[in-house]
Amino acid sequence: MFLEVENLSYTYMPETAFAKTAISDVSFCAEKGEFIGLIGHSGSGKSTLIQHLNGLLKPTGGSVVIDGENLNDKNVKLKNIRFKVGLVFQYPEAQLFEETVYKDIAFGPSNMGLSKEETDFRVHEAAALVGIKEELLSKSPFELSGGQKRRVAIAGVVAMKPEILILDEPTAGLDPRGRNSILKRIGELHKTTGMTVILVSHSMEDIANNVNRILVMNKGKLVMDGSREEIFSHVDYLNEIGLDVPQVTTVVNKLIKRGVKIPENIFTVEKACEEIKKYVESGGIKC
Amino acid sequence: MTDILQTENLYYSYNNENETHEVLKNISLNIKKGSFVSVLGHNGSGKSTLAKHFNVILLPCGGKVYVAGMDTSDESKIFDIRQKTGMVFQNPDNQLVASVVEEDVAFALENLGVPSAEIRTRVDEALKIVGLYDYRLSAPHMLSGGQKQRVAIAGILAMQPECIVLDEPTAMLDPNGRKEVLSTLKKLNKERGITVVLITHYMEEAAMSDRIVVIDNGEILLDDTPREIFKNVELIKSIGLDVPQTTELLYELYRSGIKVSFENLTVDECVNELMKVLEV
Repeated sequence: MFLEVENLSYTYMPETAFAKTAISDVSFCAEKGEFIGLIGHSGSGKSTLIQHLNGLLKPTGGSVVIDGENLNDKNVKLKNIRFKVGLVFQYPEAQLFEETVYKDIAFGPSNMGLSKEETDFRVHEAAALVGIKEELLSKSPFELSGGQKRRVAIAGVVAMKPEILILDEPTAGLDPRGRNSILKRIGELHKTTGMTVILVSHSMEDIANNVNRILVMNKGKLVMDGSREEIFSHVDYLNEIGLDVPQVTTVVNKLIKRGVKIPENIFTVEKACEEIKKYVESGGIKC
Repeated sequence: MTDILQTENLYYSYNNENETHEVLKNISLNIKKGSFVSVLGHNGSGKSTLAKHFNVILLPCGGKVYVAGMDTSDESKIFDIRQKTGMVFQNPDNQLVASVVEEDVAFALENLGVPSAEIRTRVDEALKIVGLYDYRLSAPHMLSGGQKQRVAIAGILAMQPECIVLDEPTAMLDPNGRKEVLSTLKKLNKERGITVVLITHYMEEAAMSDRIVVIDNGEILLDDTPREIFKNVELIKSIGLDVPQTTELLYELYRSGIKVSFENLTVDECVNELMKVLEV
């Protein structure tokens, strides 16, 4: 296993009157190349959990093992872990700081001690992967649109070629086109580089359209871990913990209830359309 | 009904060194008192710039903006205008100032010099409307995102405004938080007749309003009921927006020859429409 999280717990300000347990007893594993969605209501512990995966927070209980290295181990070089596990925070564009887009993307790789040539290569490669055009590289990142800024910030992490890429709500605040184009780029990144991707999102539609495995957090606990099909079949439970299923899934479930014979577990408009067409072709249409 | 918000040939441009960037071009818009209007447009289309004119955060470079009949360029009216229209922004953490919920809601009233007995009544009432009366003594930072946004809304309600303008108030919220905020807005609009102007990137939210204004490149591209707006599936997509999944499903089926109408927006309408053609 590339990533192993075992009985992970974290309490903010332990042993004080303000002690608050953010996550408790979370365990899961991930293989290389998986595309995982992480969902849960605000305050369910998602962000606390992902900050453990590159050693930004030290567990108050349990452990995180990355590629055989236990992060609790005193001899572990956290710097190396952070090159392996790239974390893109919420609203990452707030972290842009350099004079040019190029310098901003180059910041990570040059800190890794890579040669100028290698850094240069990676900047161009990362920019291309996230869809930032060459001519933007010499511009100030602050002249770009919101969606472009966000892509530059993601490129800065991608340029370090992490083996796990974690994105905390990469599409929040973007318009639908910006949302789709970032998700498409992330999907392509996942395919071409084979890196493990963990996507944190509040949009069930985005999760449904992209990932193949979903982790569900509720009140600091990992309450479900399964395939998209499995997770989205628990409509009532998801509603109970403040989550939802994609709108199209609700439509399909209601059709099934009213006697339309189409398969359950449909999460995308595309698939719903296909199944309804099949149903119509097999004679399920009123003349 | 009278118009609470009016813009007449509104122009606005930002000056960036030597370049002039036109953000709003000739916008003429009337928003009726008591209506629920959503504003859609891609990032950078000028939605937020428009919204900021309703609260005199920005003044027009050309044309006029009137709030409840008052010209926003009249400096003597600025405080009156800001009491008529309140604004809620995207990030709940950036707009709460006090360490206790009820103090936060009272903040504007204290600044306005409202007598303290009156403040008490208005704050309590505002918190009851948004459903947070039980949290009046809590610390805002301990609340969820949806609750924080409702505190921000309560702070505006306490000023007894006629209109609330919200700039992507749900962008940072989870599905539950989104529902809480939306149902609060619906309630304010229905029960209290407060005009709501909602800027959003969520098509499902826009579908719940009386009217949608679509802004593209600083101009009004479409202005109609949600039903009429979302009929233009191709146009909407071509300007970087989207339609609700319900509409998209019906539209795709229609395109492949199944005779459904795709102007149905809610889940139930969509199901009913499909049941008209499907045999069980």
